[in-house]
Amino acid sequence: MTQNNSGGAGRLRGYHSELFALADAPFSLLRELIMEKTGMYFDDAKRGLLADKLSELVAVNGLTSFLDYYYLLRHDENADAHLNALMNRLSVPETYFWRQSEQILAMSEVIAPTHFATKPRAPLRVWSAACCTGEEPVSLAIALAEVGLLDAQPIEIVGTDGSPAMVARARANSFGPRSFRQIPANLKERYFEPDGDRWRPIERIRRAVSYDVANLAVPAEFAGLATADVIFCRNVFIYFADDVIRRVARTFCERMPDDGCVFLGAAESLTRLNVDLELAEIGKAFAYVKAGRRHHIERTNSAILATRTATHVTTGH
Amino acid sequence: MSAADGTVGRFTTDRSLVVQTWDEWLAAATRIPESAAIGVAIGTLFPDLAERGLLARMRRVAEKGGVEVLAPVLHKYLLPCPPLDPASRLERMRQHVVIAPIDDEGGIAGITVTIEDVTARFDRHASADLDSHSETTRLRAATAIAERTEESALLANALADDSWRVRRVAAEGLAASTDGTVVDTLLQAIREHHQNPALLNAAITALGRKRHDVAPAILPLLQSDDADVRTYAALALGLVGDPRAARPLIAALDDVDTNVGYHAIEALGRIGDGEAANTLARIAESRDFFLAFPAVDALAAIGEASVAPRLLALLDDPFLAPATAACLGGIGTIDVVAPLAATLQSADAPAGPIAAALAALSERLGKGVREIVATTTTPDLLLSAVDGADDETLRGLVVVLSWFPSGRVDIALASLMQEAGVRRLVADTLARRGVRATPVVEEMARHADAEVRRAAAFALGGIGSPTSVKVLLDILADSADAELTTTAIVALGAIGDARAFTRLLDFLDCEDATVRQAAIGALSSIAHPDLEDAIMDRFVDQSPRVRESAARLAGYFAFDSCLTFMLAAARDEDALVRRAAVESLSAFDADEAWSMVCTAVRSDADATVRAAGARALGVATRSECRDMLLAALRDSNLWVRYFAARSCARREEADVDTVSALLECFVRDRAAPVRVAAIETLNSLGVGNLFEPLAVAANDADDDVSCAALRALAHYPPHDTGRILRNALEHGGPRQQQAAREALTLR
Repeated sequence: MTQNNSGGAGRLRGYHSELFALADAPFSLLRELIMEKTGMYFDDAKRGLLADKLSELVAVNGLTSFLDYYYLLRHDENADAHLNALMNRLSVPETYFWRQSEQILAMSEVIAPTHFATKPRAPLRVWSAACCTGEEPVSLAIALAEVGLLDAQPIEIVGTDGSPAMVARARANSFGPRSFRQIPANLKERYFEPDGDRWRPIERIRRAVSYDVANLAVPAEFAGLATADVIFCRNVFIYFADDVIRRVARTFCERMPDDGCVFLGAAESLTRLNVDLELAEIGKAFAYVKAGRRHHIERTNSAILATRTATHVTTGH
Repeated sequence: MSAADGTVGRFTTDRSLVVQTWDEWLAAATRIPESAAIGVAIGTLFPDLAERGLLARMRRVAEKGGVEVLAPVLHKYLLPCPPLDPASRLERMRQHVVIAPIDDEGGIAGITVTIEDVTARFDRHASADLDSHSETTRLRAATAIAERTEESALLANALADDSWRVRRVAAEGLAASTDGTVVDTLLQAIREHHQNPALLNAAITALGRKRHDVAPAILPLLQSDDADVRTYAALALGLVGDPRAARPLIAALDDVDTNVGYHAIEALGRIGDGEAANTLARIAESRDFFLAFPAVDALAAIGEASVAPRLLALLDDPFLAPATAACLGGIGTIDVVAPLAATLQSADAPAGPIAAALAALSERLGKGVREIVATTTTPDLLLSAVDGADDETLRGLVVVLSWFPSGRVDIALASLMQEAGVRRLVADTLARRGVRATPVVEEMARHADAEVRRAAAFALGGIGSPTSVKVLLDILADSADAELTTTAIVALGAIGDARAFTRLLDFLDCEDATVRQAAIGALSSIAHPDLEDAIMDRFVDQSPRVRESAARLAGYFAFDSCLTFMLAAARDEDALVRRAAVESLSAFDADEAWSMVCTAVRSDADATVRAAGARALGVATRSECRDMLLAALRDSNLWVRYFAARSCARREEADVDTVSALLECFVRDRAAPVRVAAIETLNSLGVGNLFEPLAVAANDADDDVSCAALRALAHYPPHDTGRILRNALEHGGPRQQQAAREALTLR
C-alpha cells in the first residue's frame, strides 16, 4: 500500500500530518497501548485520523514526536493524567436524546414492569456504560418517568464513560439544540427547563441519574457496575478491538443477573465473537441475554405484560 | 476385563442377525432373559440400532467379514442399558464393542459381538458430566477434559452435543489433543456421522486445526462410496491445507457428485496449488451454475496469472462478472487492463467490481494501468454507478474516476466529499487533480457540514491555488472547531499567499496547541516581509501563548534582531515561553544563546524547560555544551535524561565521557525510556562491546527495554546473538518476536 500519488485507495495521511508525522513504529506502539488502555482500535486506514487526534497532545506536552508521546503515556509519573487526556481526545461526543428509542422503551415498558412484578423489593439497576455527555441516562430516566415508575419504585440509573471530560459535561446537565434532534417535543417540554440558550433536565430527572468515570478496557473499573439489571452499552464496541469486546462481554455475562440484559448499538453485534450471550426480543427491540435464558426471559416478559394488559383492561386503566 | 470379573458379555447371531446365543451377563445388563432373546433379530430387540447406524455395521461384518470396533468415546454404547452400578452418574452403560465374523467352512456363518462394560472408567472422569442435561455442566466438563490434552480423546462424545458451545470446546480440545487415536476417531466421525451436520462440522473443524500430519488419513475418504463422505473429506482437506492433497482434489473435480466437486474447488483455493489453475479455469469457462463461481474464487486465491486472459470472456456473464473482475484485479497482468476497461463501454457491465479490479491492478502494476484505462474507455458508466454505491464500491470508483481529466468527474468527486466513508480519499484525489478542480472544491468549502469544509480545505491546500485564500479565510472567520481551523491554516500555509498573513497572526494566541503550531508553520511558509517586526512586537505581548509563538517563529528564522528578545524570553515568568525560547535559541548559534541554554538546563526549576534545553543541546558544537549534556544525563527528571540521551545521538560524538555516561544510563537508570534512549544512542554511535549488558537487557521485564536491546543485537556476530534472538522468537511476546525479526533482517 502506498500513501499518496499511487492512485490507490490505501492508507491516507492525516489532514495535518505536516505538523507531526506518525511513522510506522510509533503508530504500532501507540495503537497497541491505546487498545490496552482504552479498548479502542485504530486500524491502518485510521492512522491519519489517530495522528490528527493526538497531535495536540504531542504539542501541548512540549514533545516533538509521537514516539516521545508513547513513552510519556507509558512511563511518566503522571501517566494516569495523560491517559485521561487521551481518553478525552479520542472520545466522540456525538449523541442525542431518545437515540434508538425502541431500546429505551423496551427497558421502560417491558423490562422495568417485569422486574418489579418478579422482584418487588429489589431496586432496578440500569447502567449506561458509555454515557458520553449524558443524553442516554437522562433518556432512560425520562422513559421510566413516562411509565410512572421513576418516583414510584426504587430505581438506580448510573451513567459512566471512560473520558473524565465527558462525565464532567454529563454532570453539568446542560444540553444544546443538537441533543434534542430526536426526542418528541412534548417530552422536551415536560422534562427540560431553559438554561440560558441551552436546556437542562428538571430536578427529578437530574436527581435520578448519577455519573462516574469507568474505563471499559479495565474490567476492575466496571465489574461492580456490570451487576446491573439492564446495561446500555451502545455505540462503543464499534471502536473496540474484538478481544476487548469479548472481554467486556464476558465480564457482563459473569456479573449480570440471570435475567439481566445488554443493549448494544444498531451497528454492533456479539454473535460472531462466541460469547455466552444470545439475542432476545424484548418489546420492539433486541437485547443480549445470558445464553440459555432467552426463552425464559421472553416468556416471563410476555406473561407479565399480558397480566398487566388484562389488569388495565379489567380496571379500565 | 474379562467375563470372570463380570464386565464382559457376549452374544452371537446368524448371518441374518438373529440371536443365537445370549449370555448371563447380557441378560442381567439388558434385563432381557436368554429365552426372550434367542431366535429374535437383534434389530427387533433393539430398534434404535438401525437408527444409530449400528445395525448396518453388524450387517457389514456378517456379509463382508472384517472386525469392527465401536469406541465408547464416539458411540457410547451398542445395547442401551442402565449402568450396573446404581451409584453411576451416567444414564447409560458405556460399552467398548468388538464385532467379529464367525467363520464357517462355506464362509461367514454369523457374528460374535463382545461387549465390555467400561462405565466405571468414564464415571471416574469428568466425562460423565458430558451427559448432563445442563449445558453449563456439559460445558464445564468439556472444558476440564480439554485442558488435559492426554485425555481429550474423550471429547469425541461431545462433538455431537446439542450446544454449539460444547461442540466448540470439544473441537478445540480434540485439535489440541496429544492422544494419537484422535485423528482416527475424527475420521470415523466423518465416515459414520455425516448425516449429523453439527457433529461433522465440529469434527472437520478439529481436523482442520490439527496441524500435524492428518492429510494422509483423510485422503482415502475421497474414494468412499458415500458421496457425503467424499464431500466432507474434500472440505476437511481444504481446512488442513496440505499441498499433498492437491492432486487427489484435482481428480475429485471430476466427481459425479456436484457437491464433491464444489468442495474440492474450495479446498484447492485454500491450498493454493498452481497445478489446479488450468482445471479450475476450465470449470469457470464451462459457466456451470454451481461450480463456475467457486472456481473463479479459487483461481483468485491461487493467484496463477497465466489463466487471467481466459477469464475475460466471463465478464459478459452477469452472474460471474463481479467475481471474475475481482479475480482479474488480484491475478491479472497488464494484458488484461484494456479488455477489462473496455467492458465499461457496455451499459450492463458491473461498474463497481470492474473499477475495484482496475484500482487493484493499478496498485499492483503502477501508473501504466491508468493511462491504458483513460485511453480505452470513458467515465460515463462509472459516473452513473456512483449514486447509491456503498463505501467499498465508491472507493474503487473514486480511484478510477480520478484517471479521467473531465469536468464532470471533478464535479462528481467534489460531491462525494459529502460521503463520510470516502471523504478523505476524495479530498486527497482532488488535491492531486490540481488547479482544474479548484472551483468545485471551493464550492464544497462553503458546505454546511464542518467535516465537508475540512476535507475541502485540505484539498485546497494540496492544490495550492492562490484563488482559494479567500474561501479559506472565510472558514477561519466562521469556525469554532479547532480541527477545521487547523486544516484551513495548514492549507493557507501550503498556498503561501501573503494575504493570509495578518489573519494568521491572530491564531498565535489560540488555546489549542495544534492550531498555534499550524499558525507558526503557515507564517513560516509565507515568510511575509513584516514578520520580523510582528514577532518582536509579540515578545512583549501579555499572553504567554503569543510570547511562546513569537519565540518559536524567531527560532525558525533566527532573526538577529530577535536574539535579545529570545534571551529575555528564556527568563520569562511563564514556563511555556521559556521552554519555546530555550529550545529555539539553538538556531542562533551565538555564545550568549548557548550560555542561556546551558543555564536553563542546569538550573531552570521547570523540568519541561530543562528537557527543552537538553533537546537544543543536540545541535550544539561547543565543548561546554557537551559537558552540560552529560550533566543532564544525571538530572532528577527522567525526561531531561531521556532527551539528553537522544541529543547525544544527534551530536554523533562517541568520546569516552559520552559513552561512559550513556552506558551508565543504559545499565543503571531506573526509567525505561532513558534506558531505551541510551541503548539506541550507543547503537547509533557505533559503540561495540555491549553484548553482555544487551543480552541481559533482552530479557528485561520492560518491553520497551527488551525490544531496544534485541534490535541493538543485530549489530553483533550471529554466533553470539543467535540463541538470544531465537529464544525471543520462540518464547517472547509479540513485541519481542517482532524486534527479533527486525534484528535478523537488519543483520
